[in-house]
Amino acid sequence: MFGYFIRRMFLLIPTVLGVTLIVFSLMHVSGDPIRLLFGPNVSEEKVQEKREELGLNRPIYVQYWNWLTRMVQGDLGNSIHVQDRVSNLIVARIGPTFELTVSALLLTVLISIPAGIISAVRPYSVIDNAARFVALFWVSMPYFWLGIMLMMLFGLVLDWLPISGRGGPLWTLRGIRYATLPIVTLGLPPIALFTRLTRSAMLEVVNEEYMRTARSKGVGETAVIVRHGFRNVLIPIVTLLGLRLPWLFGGAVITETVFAWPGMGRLLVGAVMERDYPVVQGVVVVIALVTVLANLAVDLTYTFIDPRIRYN
Amino acid sequence: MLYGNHCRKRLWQVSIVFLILIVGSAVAFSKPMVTAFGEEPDFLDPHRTTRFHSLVALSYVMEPLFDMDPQFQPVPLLAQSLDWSEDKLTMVIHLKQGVLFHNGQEMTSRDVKASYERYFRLSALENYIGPKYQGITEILTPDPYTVIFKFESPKPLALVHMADAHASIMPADWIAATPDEEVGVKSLIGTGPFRLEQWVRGDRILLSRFDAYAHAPAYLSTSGPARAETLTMRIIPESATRLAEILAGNIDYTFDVPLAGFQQLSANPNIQVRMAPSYSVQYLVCNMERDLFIDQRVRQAIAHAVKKEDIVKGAWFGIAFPLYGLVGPGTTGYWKGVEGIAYDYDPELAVSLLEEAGWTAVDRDGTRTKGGQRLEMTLISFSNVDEWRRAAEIVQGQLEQVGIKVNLSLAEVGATYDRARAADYDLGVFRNTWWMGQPYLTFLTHSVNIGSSNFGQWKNEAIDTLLDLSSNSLDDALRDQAFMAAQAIAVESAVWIPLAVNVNVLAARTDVEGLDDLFAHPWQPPLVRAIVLGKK
Repeated sequence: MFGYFIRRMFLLIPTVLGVTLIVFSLMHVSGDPIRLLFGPNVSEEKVQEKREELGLNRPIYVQYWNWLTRMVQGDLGNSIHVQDRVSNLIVARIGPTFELTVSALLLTVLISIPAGIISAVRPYSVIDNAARFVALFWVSMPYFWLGIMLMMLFGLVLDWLPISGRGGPLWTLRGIRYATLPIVTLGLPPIALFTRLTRSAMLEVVNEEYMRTARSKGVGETAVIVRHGFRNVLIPIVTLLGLRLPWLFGGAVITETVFAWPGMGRLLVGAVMERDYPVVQGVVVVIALVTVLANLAVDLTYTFIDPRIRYN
Repeated sequence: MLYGNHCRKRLWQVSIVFLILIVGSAVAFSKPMVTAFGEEPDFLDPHRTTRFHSLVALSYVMEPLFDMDPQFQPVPLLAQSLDWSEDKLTMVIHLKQGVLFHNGQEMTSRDVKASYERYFRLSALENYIGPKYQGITEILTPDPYTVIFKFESPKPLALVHMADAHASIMPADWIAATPDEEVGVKSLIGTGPFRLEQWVRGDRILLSRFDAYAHAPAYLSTSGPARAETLTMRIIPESATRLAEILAGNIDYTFDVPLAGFQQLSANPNIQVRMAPSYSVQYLVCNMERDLFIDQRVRQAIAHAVKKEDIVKGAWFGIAFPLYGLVGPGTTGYWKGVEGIAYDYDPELAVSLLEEAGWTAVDRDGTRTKGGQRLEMTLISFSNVDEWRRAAEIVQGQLEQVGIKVNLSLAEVGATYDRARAADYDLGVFRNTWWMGQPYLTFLTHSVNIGSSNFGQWKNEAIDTLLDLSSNSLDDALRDQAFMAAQAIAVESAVWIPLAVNVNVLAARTDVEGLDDLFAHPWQPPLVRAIVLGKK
């Protein structure tokens, strides 16, 4: 198992190399960051001076190599746009992003899994139809629209919750109040996906022979469903969770923008718009790391879910 | 004895009432204030930044030697007085005494020298008063409150440039001890009415009142300190969110008002809306590298086909003004007379000019042709700036009315500027923003800026000469005339077709006071004037 873990960690190297090389090349093709930094009212001479200072006039492969060699030593460089350390910018955003994404994922799971189980146990019932309808309703809502509507209703009309911003860490009351609307915005739409997955997976196992055996042994229905049935459908659910987490890390930009949440998604999109290559590269490395680790965690979780699975 | 006791009692009562009034008034204006920014500053280093929102934010914290009064005249701010030598090559500035930096240190001539040297070393902007343009080549500090600037050539607009927040003053020791890239990122020390407390990237900037501030210019109703105890600048990039926060009363005031919400805000009884002319102007430009535009009649036809009022209504929801010259009313050097020479909306005249120029035949889709060539052109602008995108679409429709086929090519800001600098377009809708007319018109129209900010790509010697004269002549009247003449040529050429000038819209809660004072001055950024704002 340890050997498997080490082998998977080594996968990080080609993943990071591949992703950063592609992103680096595409960013450089997109245009000049110095002109964006300075605006139109600066001479070409000054622009060239800045390019030289930042090494942007060197061949692209030299620039990539320099970045790579610094990166492996833990130096992600300085942002071209805000001229702060890239690591500082990322560290400042990781906490809020982690809060938002994990909480949203938790909300999704807490609603969708019970809904999916109930739907499977009572297929085509009123509850099943209602759960599926509600789930489809949320997944059809664009994040942007959903966020604005929730903000208007709870922040403006009812004045129950703050409209935007981050009020502090999630373990504070103020932090929870500020995080509620963005978490709900991010957490509700994927419910359909998880509900349907759970439902279809549970439908496959709910009438299996071992389930009938458990019932005939006198095991309570809840225990039958949860301990015997649900455990066997955990693998696809955990797989989906593992795929979802890296996406949320870098892809919650719409929610972050609507709620002025200082997360990684906004940092990434802002850096792309400003052609802030070092920041884009830095965030991409983090997302690659999260992706590999999430996938590894998923694979390792399989061994707990299904003891038959072993990695050598 | 009784009478004495009575007097003492009265005295106590009066004193207590007096104390309550004093404390009460301080308390009344000590409340924290919140403002909203639609764009986050890049960094708050006045010497390095070129961004508008950065300049606005740092203007609460940093101060230059001079300020501009409501008549656009330079007035002393950190300076007390100044003297010029006869030949205008030596400026002697006497500093105000007792002005403190936020770290408690008194500002002296040594700090001014260090700040200007840093400014010249780091600024990316073309520095009219810098050594590169025969400006300040030596700075002497004969005593702690006297600074002598030696110029290589006379710079009649020097004070205007020295009133620019980019030339703000910082402590010399702090400059020496702080790496350049940390200034305005990790810390910032100035003499302004507010000090920088915290910057949570992506979220907010927190400023606190600098109680020792007491040297605001005379045109303000107070010399300081600021009325607000703290000022939080919330970063809210999404306009719908910003609008919601304003409507909810969570933002005390903001200049970043979403135009789409203007009517709603104006109708809200809890919000007051004020407007002031901006120095941000939008214009249509013809790329003079294209043969199509060599014939002035084609350019004039375009100018006559464009209806600015419709563009203002459609692109800015009416919250802007039609612009007749390239220099707007919020910019120094604005000349109202340019309205008399600007091209009127006259589509019939546009058509006859095109026909005179040989574009007589009309294709099946209504596009004019000449010798088999269609009068078809590409118009570039910014896809991610709603107003400019809408303006480009409206211009497209207006030009098609006179038989000019326009293909829109919209892209985000960076990509569009890349095309502009590569002269890869026929027409463009652009904006420029500067409060000083002279360098501003030079950015747009001087041939030295072809390839950077002169998107007309046009070299006109008369304009170049007039602009140089308006910058360097020691004769005030001659400078003004030259500047007006340069504006006239730019407009008459129809290479640049002014479209609209923005309006600075301020939305504030009704319990915010000081707006009359703030708006007695016509333009942004607020600089030190923000000290007049407070909440009851």
